[in-house]
Amino acid sequence: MHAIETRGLTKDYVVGSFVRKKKRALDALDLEVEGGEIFGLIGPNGAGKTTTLKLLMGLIFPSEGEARILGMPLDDPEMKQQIGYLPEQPYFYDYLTGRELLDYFGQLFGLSREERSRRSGELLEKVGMSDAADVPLRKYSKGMSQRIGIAQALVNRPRLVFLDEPMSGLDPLGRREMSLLIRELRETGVTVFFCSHILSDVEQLCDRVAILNRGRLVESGRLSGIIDLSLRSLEVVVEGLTPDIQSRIGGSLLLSRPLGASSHLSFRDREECDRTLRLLLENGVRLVSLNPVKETLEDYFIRQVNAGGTE
Amino acid sequence: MLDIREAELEVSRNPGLAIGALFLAVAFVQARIDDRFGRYRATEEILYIDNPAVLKKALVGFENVAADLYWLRTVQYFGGQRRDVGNKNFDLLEPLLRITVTLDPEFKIAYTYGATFLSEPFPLGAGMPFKGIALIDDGIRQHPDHWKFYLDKGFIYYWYLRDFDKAAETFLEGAKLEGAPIWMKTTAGRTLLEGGDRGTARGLWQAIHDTAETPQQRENAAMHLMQLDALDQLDALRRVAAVFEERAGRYPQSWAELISEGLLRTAPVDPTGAPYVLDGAKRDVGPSPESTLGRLPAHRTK
Amino acid sequence: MNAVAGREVAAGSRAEGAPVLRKIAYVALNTYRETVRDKVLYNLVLFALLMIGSSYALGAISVYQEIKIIKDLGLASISIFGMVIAIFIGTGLVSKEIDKRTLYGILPKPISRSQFLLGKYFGLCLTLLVNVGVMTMGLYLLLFLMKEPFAPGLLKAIFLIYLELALLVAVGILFSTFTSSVLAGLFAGFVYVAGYFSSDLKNLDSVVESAFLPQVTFVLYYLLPNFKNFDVKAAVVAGDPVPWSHLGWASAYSAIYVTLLLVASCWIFGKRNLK
Repeated sequence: MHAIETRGLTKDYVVGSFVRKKKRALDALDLEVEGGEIFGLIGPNGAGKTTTLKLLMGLIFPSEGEARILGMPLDDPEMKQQIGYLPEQPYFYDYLTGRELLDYFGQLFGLSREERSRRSGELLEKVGMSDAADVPLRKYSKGMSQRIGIAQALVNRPRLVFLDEPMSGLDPLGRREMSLLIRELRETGVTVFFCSHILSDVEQLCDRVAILNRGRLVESGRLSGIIDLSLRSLEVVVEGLTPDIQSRIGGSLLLSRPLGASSHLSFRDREECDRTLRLLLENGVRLVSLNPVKETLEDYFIRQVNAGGTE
Repeated sequence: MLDIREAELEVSRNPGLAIGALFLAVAFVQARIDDRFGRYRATEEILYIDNPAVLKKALVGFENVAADLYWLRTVQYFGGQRRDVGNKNFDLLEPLLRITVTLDPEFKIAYTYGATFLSEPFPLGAGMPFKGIALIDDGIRQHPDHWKFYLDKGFIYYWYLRDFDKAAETFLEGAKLEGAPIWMKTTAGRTLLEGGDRGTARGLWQAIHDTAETPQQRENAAMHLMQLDALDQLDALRRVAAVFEERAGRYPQSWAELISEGLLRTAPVDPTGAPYVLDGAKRDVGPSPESTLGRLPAHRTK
Repeated sequence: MNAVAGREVAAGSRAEGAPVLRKIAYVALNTYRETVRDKVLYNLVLFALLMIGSSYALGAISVYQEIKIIKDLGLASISIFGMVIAIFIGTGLVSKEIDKRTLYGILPKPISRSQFLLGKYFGLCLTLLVNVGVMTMGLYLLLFLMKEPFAPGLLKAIFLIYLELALLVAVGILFSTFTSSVLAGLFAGFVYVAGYFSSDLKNLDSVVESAFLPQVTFVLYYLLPNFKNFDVKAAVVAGDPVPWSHLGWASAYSAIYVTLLLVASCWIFGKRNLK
């Protein structure tokens, strides 16, 4: 059984008041997410990420196709008992305090009073909101809303959490904490499904990804399978490289951007780099830095999206 | 205990049916409420502020609509001949009409309706012909050129108050107005001469019938015309009975006797279709108690 | 990592889920809490109390009629302000959930849309009960200060007013499931006025000559909610008896019509794609 499974999931919108045209926000999405993994859904704005999430959460209804979560239909309350959801730019009842919100949601999950109280305390602690627990939500900053958002998604100790842009609104410290939290969830066996447009986060966290563009699935699978993890090049910065030494070494030295006393070298593979470096070091050249350059998800992404072209 | 989830699923399968069934239930309950509490409801709802002048000030801008509303209520509540005859409280009729015409003096129908039903004796009307006159006089004050009001007023004198002089006088005044039909003058003359003559009465009721502006007034006039026809028929039947008495030396005991004597073709019925009754003991004929003709005006010979 | 491990780890501390009626009750209580914290509502109730209080001044003007005027104005205030509050909370609070996307936090929880709507409705009814209760106490307090003996008859009128308001809230909810809060308020207000005068439509055939129009209005009369059923204010103030059976039938009317409106609301809301 997959944690999440969609078959031909499609969503059309009717646009325009006089001439009614159909706009396809999601086109026949086939997706499988396995239990216990961190799965990233990425794509440019308007690609259909949030649409997918809203469909899975039952906030909107598919025009075609179907989906199952934990093997159960989307309106099954037993299924909802086991999931958590963090909406993008979450807005909850602003007249409630953080503690009251968690307590209310706990009620809906059927937690007893002691459990609710305990769980609220735990979660508030975990997301760093213990001090602001009794402040009404209308006074929360963006970051605080995000934190309470993740807290309410975890009230019921879900097996599967859905996060829409979990890092948005967080300062660097917050983002760090969120990353740690997501990893921790996986450690405890929870499946995490999240949408993001911050590719470095996705690269860091996800086991598998799916890339959406203009409502269509472009690619999905293991991250390592998608981007080429092998080396693009090795960038080396050395000091003290004189034209004299250079001519003595000979060979093909990719010299780029001589920076005053330092020189910037580029090697295509490890062996070449090792060989040349040894020679340079023997000749008194000093090594400043050595950086392997890999293709990033961002590179891949931009390449894919541009290849999609205009419709 | 009630299983909401089950109910949810059931209803979601066929919500249209559920809603339809509920509407029927609602209509049923509404009908019961109207049945049992309609009368008691109507009385208190009608007149909170019974001073028309105050009402007019309070409803500034909406007088016409309010007048319409009061008129609707008047007519709905007092209705025509056949509705709820036993239940009406005629104390409310005059105030309702007064409010209607105060709010909208152009509402001529209200004046004439009032003239008829304020004057008409109980149970069809309030039985207060002087109030009827007063209302019509107001109408005349507002619309001195409206000849019909003179017809209505004269008619009240003629039929309900039996004041033939005043009636004739009123008809004459009305006849002077532009647009008044010619027969108003001749009717005035006949009224003076022949007083309670049935032919005059018939002519006047016919006039009321033809110029009636509401179905109730027309129905009322038609009923009175039928009454006059009935009176004629009864007169004829009395003559037939008298002939029988001469021939047989006693008053007839049934229609059958008259038919076998060849004086009648079939058992007589009144204009509403109800059979006439021959009372051998009282030596008279009359309408059946079940007839809807209502109380006939006093027997008048031609 | 696999699904099985996840299940094991999480299962021990997971809840079984709450029974349906309890969930509806929780939503209702939260809705009540929401209205209690809403500033506008306070102002409305305050205003109503002021109106009731000012009837004292009006009563002083008319000799021998003070008590009657206080009772009349008091009941009228409760009715009118009750109506404003009912429409306001019935339309505003549900539309707000849709507009502000607070539903994004609720619907993924194990509660169905219908259960949520029902919870909202009962929460609003609770709010109304408290508001009407406060206004009633204000009226009785004033009467007490005027040295009037306790008049229990007024309670019958107020009970019926409450039934009327419960019906009006349901009307507001129905409209707010498919239009914006402003439009829903307008429509609900319109239905109230139409429903108040619908009894005048019933016997239109006695006034109008056409064959077609009276048929239409006759049907309309039964379709529209007839708010006149709940109006016994004049009778109560005059001391006329109001039979208990009338209260019974009026309750039945309100209950059936509310059920109808809620069924329709749940249906529409259940099909709605949220923004």
